[in-house]
Amino acid sequence: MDGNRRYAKNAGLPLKEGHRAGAESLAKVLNCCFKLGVKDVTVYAFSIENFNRPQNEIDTIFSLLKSRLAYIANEDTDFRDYDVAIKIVGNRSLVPSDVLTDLEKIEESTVSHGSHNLFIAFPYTSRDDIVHSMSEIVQKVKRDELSVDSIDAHTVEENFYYRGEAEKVDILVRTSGHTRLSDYMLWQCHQDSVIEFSNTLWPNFRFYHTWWTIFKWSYYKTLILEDAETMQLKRISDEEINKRYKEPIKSLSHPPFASVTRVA
Amino acid sequence: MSLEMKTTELEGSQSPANGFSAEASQELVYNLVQQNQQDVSEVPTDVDHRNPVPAYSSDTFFTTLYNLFKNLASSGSQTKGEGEGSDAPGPISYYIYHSILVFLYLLMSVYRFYEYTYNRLKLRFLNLAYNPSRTPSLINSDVNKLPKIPYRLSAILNYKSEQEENGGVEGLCNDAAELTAWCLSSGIPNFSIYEYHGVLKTHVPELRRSIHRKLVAYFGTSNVPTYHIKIPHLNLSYAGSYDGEYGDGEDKPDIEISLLSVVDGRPTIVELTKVMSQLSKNHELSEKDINMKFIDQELQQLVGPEPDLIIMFQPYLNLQGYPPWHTRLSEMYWEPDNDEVSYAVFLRALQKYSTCKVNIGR
Repeated sequence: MDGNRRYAKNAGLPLKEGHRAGAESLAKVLNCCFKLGVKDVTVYAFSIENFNRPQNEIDTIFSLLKSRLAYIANEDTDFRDYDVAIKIVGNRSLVPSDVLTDLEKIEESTVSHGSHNLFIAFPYTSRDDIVHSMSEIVQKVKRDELSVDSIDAHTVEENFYYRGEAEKVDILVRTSGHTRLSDYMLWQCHQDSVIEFSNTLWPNFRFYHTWWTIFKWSYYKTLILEDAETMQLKRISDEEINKRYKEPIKSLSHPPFASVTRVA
Repeated sequence: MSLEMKTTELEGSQSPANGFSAEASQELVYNLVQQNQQDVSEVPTDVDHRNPVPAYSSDTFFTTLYNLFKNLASSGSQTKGEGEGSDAPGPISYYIYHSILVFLYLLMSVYRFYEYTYNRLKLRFLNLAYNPSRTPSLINSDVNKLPKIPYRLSAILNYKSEQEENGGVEGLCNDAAELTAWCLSSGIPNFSIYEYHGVLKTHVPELRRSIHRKLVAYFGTSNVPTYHIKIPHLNLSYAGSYDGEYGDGEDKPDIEISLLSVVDGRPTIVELTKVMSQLSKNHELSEKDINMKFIDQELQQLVGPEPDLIIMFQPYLNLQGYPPWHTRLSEMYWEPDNDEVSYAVFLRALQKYSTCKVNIGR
């Protein structure tokens, strides 16, 4: 969600209005996503680096976020039908305690929901997430809950703030024309994810843009699936290959040798 | 083969880290990971799986159409498109929605056909307009118009099959060499090449020869710039030109080239985690030391610093497992529907970079 401030500047509005428009846009985009059948959505609400902004702007964002989430969680009838579980991912130790308790209350109230997930990255950076996961693993090893040999990429994923729900993202959208990731989802999106850099400012990001992004993705996905079908790549998954060729080559059986030289 | 391998000796990994001094543990972790890294095998490069980028963009319009129809017509129960509602529809409404989706895909493929043609024509034109003609001063004057350039540049190259034009190892080396010459001409001192399977890492002699030849073609025989080729994953470094004219190159080379592949991405992070876990279990590393700065330093030693600009010479944006830690603030550039390494793309990437404003969080 990028471009709120530029939106406000272009429209000659106070900064606060820009953020408010952004929050409204969030509700619309979420509605559209859930309608189209997207299961999990993560929004990058607040970066750890954003703490460098002026205090009153931070306060505005926090209060907007709180009210918007409370609305999505409890009041709005549309979202009640979607059965959305709101989860906060990020370094909670950095959030002021009063904001945190409010957010956790909202989180708690939706804990029984399950057909859609809305992850709020708050305050989040991907590097912080990776470091968090690493230190978590180190502590687990120290407590003998985990053996060193069993650590793999999956273990790292399980110890993210997402708690095991951090699968690969299919589509990542960055609005307002910047072509960099800015420390967001680095681990989740660097393998075969579609990264969409949109020139639209976030408050202007509407149903049409959301639909177009997802439609394009589905078009290419169909082509790729068809490609895989013709190339027969899809038939054998990686795990199956591993299972099939796990045995070392020497242990394979063969008929007895018949040779003029002596076989040892 | 006359290449002098210069391996920086691994200091004994058993060096005691008494008192957890930050530098000592830093060194210790680095050495251990480096050792383990040598054992991490490269990804098998069997021919069928070689290209991680599906080549649908080079399909003709009609193959695309045919594939689409085949898929959509045959898949009664297959992947459901997003045109459907969430409440399980009956067979009739399913067919209605499905035909709408087919129709939309049809429109999309027509649109894509025009877009593809437009993009290709644009690229053709750009390649005619910007031609370096192997002259560093031309490149230099192009670049000098820009207000800023990146200090570290990274390129994602793709291995093409040998049958294709400019394909195979030869083609890859040629592309890498060309890019090196462009970087040198524009004054960028750090250049890293990412190739998914690490083909270049196993073909360093060819790469050196090819770079040397290219630099001679650009800069003349008498003043070939000096360069270092580094493989951070194996902790190897090769100095100078390919005939070994420049000794061990004590002074700083004009350009540093590092070769990256998929093992520098997630596997390195996992390996680092393993080593840290082992060390902390043996009480050689305190948990308080594990913070962002420490891990950043480790990964910078193991993989290299983060690049300012990543240029992708592929039809669409796909990071292909590029080291995740290092993509934090890197600007990315790719040209839609482009599939070759060309100067126009390189220059346009630099132009785009020069207009970007990075404000970390503010």
